[in-house]
Amino acid sequence: MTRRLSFPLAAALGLGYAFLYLPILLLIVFSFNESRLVTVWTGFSTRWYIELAGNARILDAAGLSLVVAALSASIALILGTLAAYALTRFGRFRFRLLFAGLLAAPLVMPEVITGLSLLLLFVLLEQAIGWPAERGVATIVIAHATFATAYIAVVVQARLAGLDRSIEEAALDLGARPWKVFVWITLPRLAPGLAAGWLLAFTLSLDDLVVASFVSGPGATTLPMVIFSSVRLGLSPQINALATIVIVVVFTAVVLAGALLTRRDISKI
Amino acid sequence: MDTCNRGPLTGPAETMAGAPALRLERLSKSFAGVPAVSQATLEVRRGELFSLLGASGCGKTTLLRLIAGLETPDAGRVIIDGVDMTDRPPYERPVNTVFQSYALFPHMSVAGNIAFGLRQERLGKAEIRDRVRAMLELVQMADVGERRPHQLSGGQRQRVALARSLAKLPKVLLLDEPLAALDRKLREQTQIELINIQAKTGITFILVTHDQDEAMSMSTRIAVMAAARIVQIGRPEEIYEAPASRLVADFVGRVNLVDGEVLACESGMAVIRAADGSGELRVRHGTVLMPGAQVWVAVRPERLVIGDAPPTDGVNRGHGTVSEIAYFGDMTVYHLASPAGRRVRLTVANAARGAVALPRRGETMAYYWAPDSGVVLTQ
Ligand SMILES: Nc1ncnc2c1ncn2[C@@H]1O[C@H](COP(=O)(O)OP(=O)(O)O)[C@@H](O)[C@H]1O
Ligand SMILES: [Mg+2]
Repeated sequence: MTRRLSFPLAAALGLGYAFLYLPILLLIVFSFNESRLVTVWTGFSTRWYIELAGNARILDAAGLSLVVAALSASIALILGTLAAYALTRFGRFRFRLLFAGLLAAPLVMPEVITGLSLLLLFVLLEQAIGWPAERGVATIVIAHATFATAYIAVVVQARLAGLDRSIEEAALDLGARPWKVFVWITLPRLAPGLAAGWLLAFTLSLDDLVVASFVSGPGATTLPMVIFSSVRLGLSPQINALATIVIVVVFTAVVLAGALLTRRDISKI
Repeated sequence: MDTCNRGPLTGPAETMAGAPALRLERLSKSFAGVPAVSQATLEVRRGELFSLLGASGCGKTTLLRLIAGLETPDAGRVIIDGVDMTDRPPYERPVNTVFQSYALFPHMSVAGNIAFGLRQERLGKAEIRDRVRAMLELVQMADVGERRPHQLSGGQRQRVALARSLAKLPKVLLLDEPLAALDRKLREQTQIELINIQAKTGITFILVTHDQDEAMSMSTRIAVMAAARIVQIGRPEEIYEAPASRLVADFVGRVNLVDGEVLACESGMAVIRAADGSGELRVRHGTVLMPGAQVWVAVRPERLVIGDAPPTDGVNRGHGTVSEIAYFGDMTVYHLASPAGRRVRLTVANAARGAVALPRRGETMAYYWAPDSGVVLTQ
């Protein structure tokens, strides 16, 4: 059943969404502006997208960002899933609550602090064992995996807690060894949560400017870093076009993740 | 059916001929210091349909999980088919469970659910397919093999869960209140089917239930549980006719209980003075009772006879005012208020239509019972 919204409610809703999305909408509209002046509309054109396609610096950065996002999301997926599994399935071991809290803490930690502390770690490591010799892709991936692990652990934990324990017991009862139960029963039931967690981690990495700025070196510039540094030189329609593409990618990922998480659950039978 | 088709751990070499299907020795399990199963000792013979009967929360599910290996006992042994399985994990025990929630795998088809256990045994594809088909036919579900569990009705899910556990031809099949979620008609029908399937396969069944009618009508033997303990084990008629305690008498069927003191006990006939001053009761009792002992006399409602006792043995008489009448079609239940203030329950089989003019509410009704209709309970 769909209900009609009353006028004041609709107005409030409209205002809220306008506040959220007007800036983004403007950015998208002006990415199709013909004029080089960002704030003056002269006509529709896709020239900035075409120019963008020839900009090696930006393309390199975009490629790097995608690689970093995919790698860090995958590492975080494994670590976060294991942590969530341990926390939900191994009963009440000592300090369980403390561990659960510590796992979620990076979610609310200011990025500046996360970035600073990781930088400190990498510098100390370099002095101690000579690795990482220089900061770049590897250090950014590690840094992103660090905070993404927390997100994935939280998502997977929620999913695991909602899983009916008795179907795993039924599998054990039918003669399946524990690892087979995990592969054939637990993992398929977790899959939507895992996919959603991976997508969230991917977009978090793609978005990140602060942590990456701390731990990257001269050789590795991610897309947000490129955008930020060019905007400091002045607004450019080409960056608008780039930003539009990023928005589309992130938006798709988030919608997909949301759909996976709220998918009608057939586990409750 | 071929029961040799199991994994290497339960091969025929390990099976001792003549050993009981299951033996529990002083099995105990507590949760946070509170006993859920305490000192459970029992033996289930091969091919039995054995019931664990008890009120909700008395530890039936825990006992079943201990047998299946899903719970580790604090003390005691679990011996399945002559082999001590106490320290074996669930996936090495030749028992399978029908869970109360059915616990079907939602991401697999019905056939996939049934095949899952067989796949763990390294059976050939063709053999698995044949067994799955045989199981589907056994539970009369041959046409729904490709469906997913959420597309089935409650009764169908129950059958799939049964087929899935039977497919592995376990030494013992454990069923945790398998019929509790079904409506009454379906439940009665399924009870009969379960008995038939048990007879057909010859597999030992251990059935958990809180429904005494179910336990009485289906089982070869019953273990009555109360507060984490097994309080009596016996055939249904033993449990009903000779309950070991007030607790069992009260839980299995309905009973009229009168407390009193033993006055004399001679040649099997005990004379007991009712504590409420309503007179003396005579009960033919198998064992010797010491005069002065505090006991309870239990008489089943259907053993009370309407009318005055024949003059030759005018014992165990009573009367009361009819306070409630419940008509059940096949029988009628009367509640009488005795002069001593006791409630007496009395059932009359409606054998012939309108044969006797039966008393109405508010009328006085006399009854009696024969000395061998009662049981003396000492605890
Ligand atoms: N995993 C558990 N943790 C703590 N207490 C439990 C657990 N399982 C069962 N119990 C307790 O043990 C007692 C017996 O439970 P259960 O075996 O499920 O009884 P039944 O099946 O007869 O209803 C109950 O008091 C229950 O609360
Ligand atoms: Mg139970």
